[in-house]
Amino acid sequence: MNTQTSLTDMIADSLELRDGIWYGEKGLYWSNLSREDNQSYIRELPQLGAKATLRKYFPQHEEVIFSPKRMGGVATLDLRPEDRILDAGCMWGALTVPLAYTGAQVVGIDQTEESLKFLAQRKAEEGLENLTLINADLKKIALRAGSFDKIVLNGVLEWIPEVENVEVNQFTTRRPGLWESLRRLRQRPPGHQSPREEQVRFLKKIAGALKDDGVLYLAIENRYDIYYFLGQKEPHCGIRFFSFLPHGLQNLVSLLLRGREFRNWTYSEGGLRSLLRDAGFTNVDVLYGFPGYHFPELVLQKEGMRFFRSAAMAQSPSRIKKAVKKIVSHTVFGIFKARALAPAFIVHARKI
Amino acid sequence: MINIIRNYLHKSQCQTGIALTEEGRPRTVVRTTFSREGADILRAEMEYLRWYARQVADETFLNDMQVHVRDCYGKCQFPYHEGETGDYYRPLHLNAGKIAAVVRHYGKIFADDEAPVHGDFSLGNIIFKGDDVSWIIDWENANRCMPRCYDLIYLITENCLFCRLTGTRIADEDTAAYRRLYREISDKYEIPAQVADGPGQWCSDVVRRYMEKTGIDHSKCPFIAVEGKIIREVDEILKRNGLP
Ligand SMILES: C[S@@+](CC[C@H](N)C(=O)[O-])C[C@H]1O[C@@H](n2cnc3c(N)ncnc32)[C@H](O)[C@@H]1O
Repeated sequence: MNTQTSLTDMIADSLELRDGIWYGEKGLYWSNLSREDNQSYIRELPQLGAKATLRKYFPQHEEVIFSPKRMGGVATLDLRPEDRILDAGCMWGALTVPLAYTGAQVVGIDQTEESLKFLAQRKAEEGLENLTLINADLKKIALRAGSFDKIVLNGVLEWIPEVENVEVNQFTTRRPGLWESLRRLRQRPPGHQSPREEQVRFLKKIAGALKDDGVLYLAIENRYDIYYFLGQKEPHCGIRFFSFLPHGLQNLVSLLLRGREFRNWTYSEGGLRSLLRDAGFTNVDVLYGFPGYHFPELVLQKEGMRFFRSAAMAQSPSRIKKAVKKIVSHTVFGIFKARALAPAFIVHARKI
Repeated sequence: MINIIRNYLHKSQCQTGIALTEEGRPRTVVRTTFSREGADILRAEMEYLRWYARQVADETFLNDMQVHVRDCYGKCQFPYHEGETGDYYRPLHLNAGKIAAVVRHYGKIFADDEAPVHGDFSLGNIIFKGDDVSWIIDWENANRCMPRCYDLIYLITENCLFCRLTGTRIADEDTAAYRRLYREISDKYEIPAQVADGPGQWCSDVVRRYMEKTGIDHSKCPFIAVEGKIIREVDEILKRNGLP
């Protein structure tokens, strides 16, 4: 394939190619690693290769990138070798590389150059000519209308409204104190958009980039995951008993505890459906991921809830936690089939 | 569209999906893989499954199946067989009727020398309609290198192991049932002398050799995953009362 011509079929911006990555308009930094950590291992990538470098520096991230479980949700899609797929917010390529194995034309976009360097190394090692990597801000990049059969947003939509750099698990900046927090809550900067508005705008762009019969694959946490009520931390800010609070209160708590607004909105099933409707997706299938969408052991549509098994939820190093999870999930999902409290949504959304 | 993915069962690189009918009944199984190892496993599994479908003369199966394997990506579909899988937590003597039916089914299907060994011949992988065998699933570990009698010895010994694991006592009725079934199996198949020293231990050895020889990871097999001490305990009970 001639990458250049087919790339201009999909992306309207002019991009510049350097070392296997196309560069567009810069965005923020988002990584599980600090910039320094990223630099140190990127230097060794060409000599050691992707897997060995990762093992040497960050063995704790190996599973997130290489576990076959990562594809559990994506396997619900009807993937075809003639597809054009966009993995938006592709990061280290946990889904991008397996998607490329199908033979489809795959484009991975991410704002974090460091993550893409790792992915570019994998692409080179595996000779994945059908994979194109773009370092750009998803909010700024111009996607051509009707150019993709599938677009994957796996753990990305909730980060779209983010306005600051993110280093995962480093949630706190300077804490402003109560008075300053209240002042900041009242005085929003000009042009301030609500997270939902930004998400709708972004999803409209995604809808536009899809072919008429294209499918958006969207995976996102449920704001009302049962475990949040039992004290599990909200993963985008690391605060307990937080996810289900009203947004105003969330912002106050978030400003007080970590010095920033909480913009990583997630939704209930109804909320998500309405968000997608506002963005132009009229045909939406929702599946539920257990124990989440990252490593789904079970992915069930409403009609399949009777296939729920609490074994899927019972992962924890602690025996007691394991038993509690099993009992809670058996009751909530096995007996009551309370989908509204499922940990995560895996959505297939279509325009028609 | 696939309505269900069952990943927690999977032992390897493959995702198992189920597509439902409009009424919500399981219609097809779709196995997908995104890795080279997975594609190899899937290809082999499909070959054995096709063999089995031919043996039981299941025409729908053969007509409905498509295999599409491209490098590291593989996907295949086959009809979902409804029914209940066997329950290996139930005491052996209560399973004895079902197991006798399995031994008969096995005798018919796996009769010729060309037949493979299933390799994971657990009650949980056999689908029953009433007490009769309707279908055998999970052919990931089918092979032609394990000894012929392995499947059936495994079947009855695994049942005892799981009962021991959940604290169900292996009672005299169970060892009596074991003895009867063992005799039936040994009438039909040649059983190596080592089995009598401890059938559980023998199963571990067979799987270990299989893993060495093929490089396939079968470490979730209970006779590998469960502590050796427990396997020896079960062996002791069976040696005392269960073997002829
Ligand atoms: C939680 S990670 C998900 C990674 C990947 N989809 C996966 O499932 O492994 C979120 C990713 O989205 C990227 N991202 C978030 N907002 C973005 C934006 N506006 N433009 C480009 N990438 C963005 C981040 O850089 C990060 O790599």
